Amino acid sequence: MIYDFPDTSKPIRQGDIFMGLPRIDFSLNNILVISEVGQRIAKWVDISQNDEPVNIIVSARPVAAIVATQDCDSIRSREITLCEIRGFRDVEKKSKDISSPKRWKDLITQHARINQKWFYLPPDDKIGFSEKMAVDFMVTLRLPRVELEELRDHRIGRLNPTADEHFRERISEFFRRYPYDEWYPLDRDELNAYLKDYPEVKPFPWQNA
Amino acid sequence: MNSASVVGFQDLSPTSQTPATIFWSESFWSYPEKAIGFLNNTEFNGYFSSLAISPITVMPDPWLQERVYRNAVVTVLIYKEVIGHFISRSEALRIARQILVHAEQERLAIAEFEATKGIQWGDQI
Repeated sequence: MIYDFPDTSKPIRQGDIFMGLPRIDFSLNNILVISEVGQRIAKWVDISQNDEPVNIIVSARPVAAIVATQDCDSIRSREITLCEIRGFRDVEKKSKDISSPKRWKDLITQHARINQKWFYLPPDDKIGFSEKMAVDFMVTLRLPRVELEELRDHRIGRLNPTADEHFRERISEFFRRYPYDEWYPLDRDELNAYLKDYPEVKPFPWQNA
Repeated sequence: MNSASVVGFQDLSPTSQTPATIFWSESFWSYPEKAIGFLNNTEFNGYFSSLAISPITVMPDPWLQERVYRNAVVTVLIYKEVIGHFISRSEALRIARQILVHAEQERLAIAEFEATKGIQWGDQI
């Protein structure tokens, strides 16, 4: 499909796909501090007041991920940023009832019209994806570059030039999205329809007239 | 090394090694002589004066300073440890696991929420 398979001597570059990288999750309200005297649970806001490093316990899950860092940075920066890869149906819930190729086609090709939060990765036996997958731009990992380079045998492939070019543009578009209140130009009737979906929205002054 | 000891070693000059020349007697009556003899002993005087003077003349004892510093550090660490409440290791591991699972569930819930919003491509098919 859309993948290349570089050997382990090749340097890391944007679009490289790794398996088994650690994704950690922690809670600012439940920081698990560990020290010589035992474990305790605290809020980060309290710990941060000491302005000193602390050792904490976190859980990590091995996940698939794709390199998001640009090529020029991925050869010298201290860290590499990656985005997690998950099953497409988990990332895009609109696909949960889709089975026909025609509906899949419509969903997958939305990128030409919508700035989505995911990048589609088709199944491929050689790379190890048995089902449709997606890069979730919202979930990032940050790992030390040198140690990631030592894990190049965990690199299962990379996007081919066509897909890589698309990925490069998609990820940059995602992170330069302009955040704005999309309801600002709606007239009263349109706003009322909008409020049915988003009741927490506050109309702008000109929409109250 | 203790500063007092340094002073003592410095005092072991050839002069201080010179044998005493005073008269030595075990008799009770000659005790004043023995006392006077001790006072005239150069080696004894060197040790005595170094011990007597050292507490007020030498530099601060680094071992003592280090102990005071360590005590201060321990005090600070104990102060910091009061943040939060203590839990068992098994409970900490359970909570860490729970945090990870909870984060994954929240991602799915948000994806579910967002799937109901915006353009419904399924409706157009």
